[in-house]
Amino acid sequence: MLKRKLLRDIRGSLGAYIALISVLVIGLMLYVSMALTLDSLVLSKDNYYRDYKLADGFARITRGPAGLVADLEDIRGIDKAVGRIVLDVLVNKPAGEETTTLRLVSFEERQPLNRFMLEQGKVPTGEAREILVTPAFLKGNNYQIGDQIPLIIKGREVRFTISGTANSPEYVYEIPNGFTLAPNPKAFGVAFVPYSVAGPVLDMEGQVNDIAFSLNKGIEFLDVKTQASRVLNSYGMTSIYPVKDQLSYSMLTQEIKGLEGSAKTSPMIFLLVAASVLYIMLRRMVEQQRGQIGVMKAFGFTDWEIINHYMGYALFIGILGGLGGSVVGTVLSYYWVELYKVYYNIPDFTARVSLTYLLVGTLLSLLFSLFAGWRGCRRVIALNPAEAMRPPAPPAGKKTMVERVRFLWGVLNTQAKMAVRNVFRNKQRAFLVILGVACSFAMMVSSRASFDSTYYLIRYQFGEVERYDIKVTLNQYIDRVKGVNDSRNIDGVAGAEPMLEVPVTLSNRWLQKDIVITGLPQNGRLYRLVSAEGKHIDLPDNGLVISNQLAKTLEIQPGEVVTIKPFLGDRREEKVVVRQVVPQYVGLGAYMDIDALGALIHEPSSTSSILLSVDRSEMDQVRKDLQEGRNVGVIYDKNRMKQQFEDLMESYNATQYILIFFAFITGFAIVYNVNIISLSERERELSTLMVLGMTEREVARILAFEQGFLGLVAVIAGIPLGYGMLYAIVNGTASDIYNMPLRIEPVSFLISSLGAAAFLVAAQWRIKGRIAKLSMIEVLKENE
Amino acid sequence: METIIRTQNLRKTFYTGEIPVHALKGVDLEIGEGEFVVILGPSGSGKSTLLNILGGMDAPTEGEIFYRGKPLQNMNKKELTMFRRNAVGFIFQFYNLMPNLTALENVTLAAEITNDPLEPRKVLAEMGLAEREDHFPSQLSGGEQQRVAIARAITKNPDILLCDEPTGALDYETGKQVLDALRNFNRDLGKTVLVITHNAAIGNMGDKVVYIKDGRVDRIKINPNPVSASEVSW
Ligand SMILES: Nc1ncnc2c1ncn2[C@@H]1O[C@H](COP(=O)(O)OP(=O)(O)OP(=O)(O)O)[C@@H](O)[C@H]1O
Ligand SMILES: [Mg+2]
Repeated sequence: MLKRKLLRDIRGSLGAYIALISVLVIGLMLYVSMALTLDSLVLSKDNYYRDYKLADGFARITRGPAGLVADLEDIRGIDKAVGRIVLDVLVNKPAGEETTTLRLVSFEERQPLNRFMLEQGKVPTGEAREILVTPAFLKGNNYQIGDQIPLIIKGREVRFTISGTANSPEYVYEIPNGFTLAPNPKAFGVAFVPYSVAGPVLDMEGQVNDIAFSLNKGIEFLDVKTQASRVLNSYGMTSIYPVKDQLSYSMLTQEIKGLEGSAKTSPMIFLLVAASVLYIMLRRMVEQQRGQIGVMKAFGFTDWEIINHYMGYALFIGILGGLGGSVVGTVLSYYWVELYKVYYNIPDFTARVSLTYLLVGTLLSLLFSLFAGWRGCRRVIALNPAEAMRPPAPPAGKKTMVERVRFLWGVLNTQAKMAVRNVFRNKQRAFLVILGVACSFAMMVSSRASFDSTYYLIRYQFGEVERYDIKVTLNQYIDRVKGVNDSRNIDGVAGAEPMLEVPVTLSNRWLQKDIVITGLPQNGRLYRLVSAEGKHIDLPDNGLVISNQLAKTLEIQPGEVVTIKPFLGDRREEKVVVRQVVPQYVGLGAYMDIDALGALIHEPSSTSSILLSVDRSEMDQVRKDLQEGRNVGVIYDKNRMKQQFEDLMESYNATQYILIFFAFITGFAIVYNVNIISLSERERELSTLMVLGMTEREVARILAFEQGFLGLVAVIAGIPLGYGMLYAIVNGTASDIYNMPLRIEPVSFLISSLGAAAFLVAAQWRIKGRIAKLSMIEVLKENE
Repeated sequence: METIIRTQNLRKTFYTGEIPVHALKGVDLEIGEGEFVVILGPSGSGKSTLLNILGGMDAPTEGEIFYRGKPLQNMNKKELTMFRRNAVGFIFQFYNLMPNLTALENVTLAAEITNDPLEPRKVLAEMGLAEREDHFPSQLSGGEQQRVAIARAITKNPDILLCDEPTGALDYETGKQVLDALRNFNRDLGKTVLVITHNAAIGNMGDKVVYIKDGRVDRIKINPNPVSASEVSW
C-alpha cells in the first residue's frame, strides 16, 4: 500500500525526480568514466614501462666512445647502461610542404633498456639502410611499409627504407621538446635505426651521444648523479636527469595527475548538489505529510516502517542514478580512451567494462542519497502521533537583517518585502540554492576560462614574446655574425637574429634545476621579454631575467644571486644576479645578454640558433633553402605551431560546451526543485494573493524576485568560486613544462551569467505553468 | 436601490468524484447596492459554492450572473482577475494572512494592487489594531488576525464584500467585534456586504436573509429593522 503511495508521489512530481536523477547521473558518469580511464591508463602505462625496460636515468653528451657505458655500469647503484646515437634530422621534402623532423634513435640487438615494441613489419637486420618508424608517424605522413624516406644528413640526402613500425616507452607522448605541447606526426616523429647503420651514416662510428641507465633496487637517481656526471663530463655532458623529468614520462605523469584530480573533485560537486536537493525534498515531504505520518503512527506503524517508506524515495533515486551513471560512465570511458590514444601511444591501452566500478558507482550514489534521505526524514521519529496530526506551528514571521538597512528596505514595495523575508525565512534552503547556483555558475566560468587561459597563453607566447617566423636550431655552435649574415642573404628573409642556448645547472642554496639559458641580443626584435602587464622589458647588460615558475622552483626574488654551472666548456661556477622575473607559461626560461652568456662559456661570438622573420609569401622557399643548409638541425615554424595549438584547442571545444551543459542541468535541477517545493509550501499564500486580485504574472513575479535575488547573490559568490576552481585546475596541471596563466575574460563571466539567468528563467517558466493550475477554491477550503 | 448582483438559474455541478455533485441547482438571486445580506443554510447546501461564483473565483456550470449588468460568465481569466482586484473583497473563515508580512504590510499589499484604496494604516486603526501594526500574524490572536483580514479586504475599497463564515473560528465576543466591523463598513461607506453563516441569530443583523437549501434559494426574508451586532446574541 505504501509502495503505491511512493509510486504515485513520484509520478506526481516526475519533473523534480528526473532533474534530480540527472544530476546524480552526471556526477557518477564523470566519476566512473574518469576512474575507469585512469585505472586502465595507469595499468597499461606501468606494464609498458616495465615490460620494455624504460630507464631510470638519462644523459646527453656531445660524443663519447660506446665503451663508456661499461664505466657507468661500474658505478655502485647503476645496474645497466646503454649508449645510443640520437639525432634530429630533416626529411627532404619539396618546397611548400611542412618541415618534418625525424629523430633517429639507434638500437642494438637485445638492448637491456628502452626497448621498442614492434607493431608491424620486421626489425631491420642492420645490413641495409632500413628503419622502423612509429605507427603515428607512418600514418600521419601517409607512408607505407617498404616506402623510402629521404633524409638530409650532413647536407646530403640519404634514403632509408621503412621496414616496419614500432613504439617505445620513451616516446609515449611523441614530441621533440618541451615547447611543443602536442604531438604532430607531420612535424615530428621518431625512428629506430640499427647502431651498425647509424654509426657510419651519422659519422659516429663507435661513438654515442645519448645515455640511458637503470638503477639497482633501492637506489635513487641522486645517489648516482655525481658519479655518473664525473664519468660523462669528459665527453661534454649537456644534461643528466631522472626518468621523472624525461619529456614523455613527465607529460604522461602530468596528465594522470590532472585526470586523478578531476576524477576526485568534479563528480563530488554534482553528487553534493544532488544530495542537498534530495535532502530538501524529503524534509519538505515529511513536513507536509506529518498528518499522514500521525495517522500511520496511530494505526500502529512503527517508526522504522515509516522511515523505510520515506527512505524508499532515496533508495529509488540512488539506485536509478547510480546504475544509470555507472552504465553511461562505462560507455563514456571508451570515448575517453579513444581520445587519449590520439595523443598517447600506449599499446594495450583499452577501455573495459568493470563490475567493480558499476558497484562502486552505485554504492557511491546510494551512500549520498541514503545519507541525504536519512537527514531529511529522521524527524519522523520525533513526531508523536497526536502531535503529528496537529498542524505544524505556523511559520513565524520575523524581521530580517535587511530591514535594518532602512533606505533600502524603504524603497521596496510590499511584494518585494514578502519575497525578501521569504528568502530569509528559510535560510538553510536559501543557502543551498545559493551554493548550488554558485557552483554551477563557477563550473561554467572555469570550464570556459580554461580556454581563456590557453588562448591568452597562445597570444602571449606566439604574439608578444616570439616575434620571429622561423627558428633554425644548429647542429653545432657557429659564428654569430656569419650565421646571421648568411641567413639574411637567403631570399625572403627580412631579418635575422642570433640566439645562444646554453644548458646549465642553476642553483640557489640547496635548490637546483637543470635548465637552458637563452642568450639574446640587446634590442632584439624577434624574441622579446614581456612583463605581466604586457610591457616590453629591456634585457639587462648583465644578470638574468627568469620566468616566474623558475623563480618559484628555486625560491628566488629579483636582486638575489644564483649560481650558474654550465654543462659546456670548463664548467666553472659563476655567480649571477637575477634582475627581473617575467611570466612564462611554457618551460622554465632564463634569459641573459648574448655577449655575457657567451663569455660565460668562453664562446664569445657563437650562436646555437638563428631566428628569422620571413615574408609570408616566400615562406616555403625559405624553408626549402634552409633544409639544404649545413649545420641546420631543426627548422621550427612558429606560425604552424601556433596554428596547430589553436586547432588542438578547437578540438577540445566540444568538451567545454558539454561541461557547461552539465552545469546548466545542475543549476536547473536545483532551482526547479526548490521552486516546486516552495510553491507547494505556499500554495495557500499564493492562492490568497490571487483571490485578492493579483494576476498569475504578479504572483509568479514574487517567486521570480526571490529566485532572482538568490541568483544574483549566487553569481556574485560564484565569481571567487570560479577563480578558485580555475586556480585548482591551473595548479593541478602546472609543471616545469607547462603552467597555464590564470585568466578569465569578461565575456566568460558574461556567458556564464547568461547561462545562470537561462536556467533561472527556465525553472521560473515551468513554475509559472504550475501557478496557472493553482485552484483558489480547493486550497482555501482547507484548514490551515 | 440599484441592483449590484443578479443571478439567473445559476447551476454548478462538480465532476471531481465518481458521481457528479450538483452543488447549485438553479439559484435566482438579486442583491441591491449597499445591502447587508446574511446567507444561512445547512452544511453542504452550496453556500460557499455560491459565494465563490459571485466573487469571480469559480465559474458556474450553467446560468447567468451579472455584476452591475455585466455578465461574469463571459469574462476571461484576466477580466475576472481585474473584477476581483477592484470590485470584490474576500474574508474567509481561516484568515489566510501572509505569514511573513506584518499586519500593516498585509493590508498595504492589498492596497498596492487596487485603483482606489483606502489608507491601510487608517483602516487598521479603525479595526482597533493601531498598536498591532508591526506584528506578524503568528504574534496575533485569532480575532486580531481576522480583523487584519477584514482590514485587508476593506482597504481595497471594494463595492462588495464577501465573507464566508468570518466568525466560524472565533469566540462569542470576538465574533461580535468582527460582525460590528463589517456592519460599519456597510453602513458608513454604503457598500454591499454578504455574510455566510451557520448561525441563525446573525440573520437578525441582515437587511436581507437568504436561506439556501440543497443548492437552491429556499426563501428570502427582508428585515425592516436589522439589529446591530451588539444586540445579537447566541
Ligand atoms: N471542489 C469541489 N469538488 C467536488 N464537490 C464539491 C466541491 N466543492 C463543493 N463540493 C460539494 O458541493 C456541495 C456544496 O458545498 P459547499 O462548500 O458550497 O457547501 P456549504 O454550504 O458551504 O457547506 P459548509 O456550511 O459546510 O461550508 C457539497 O456537497 C460539497 O461536497
Ligand atoms: Mg462553506
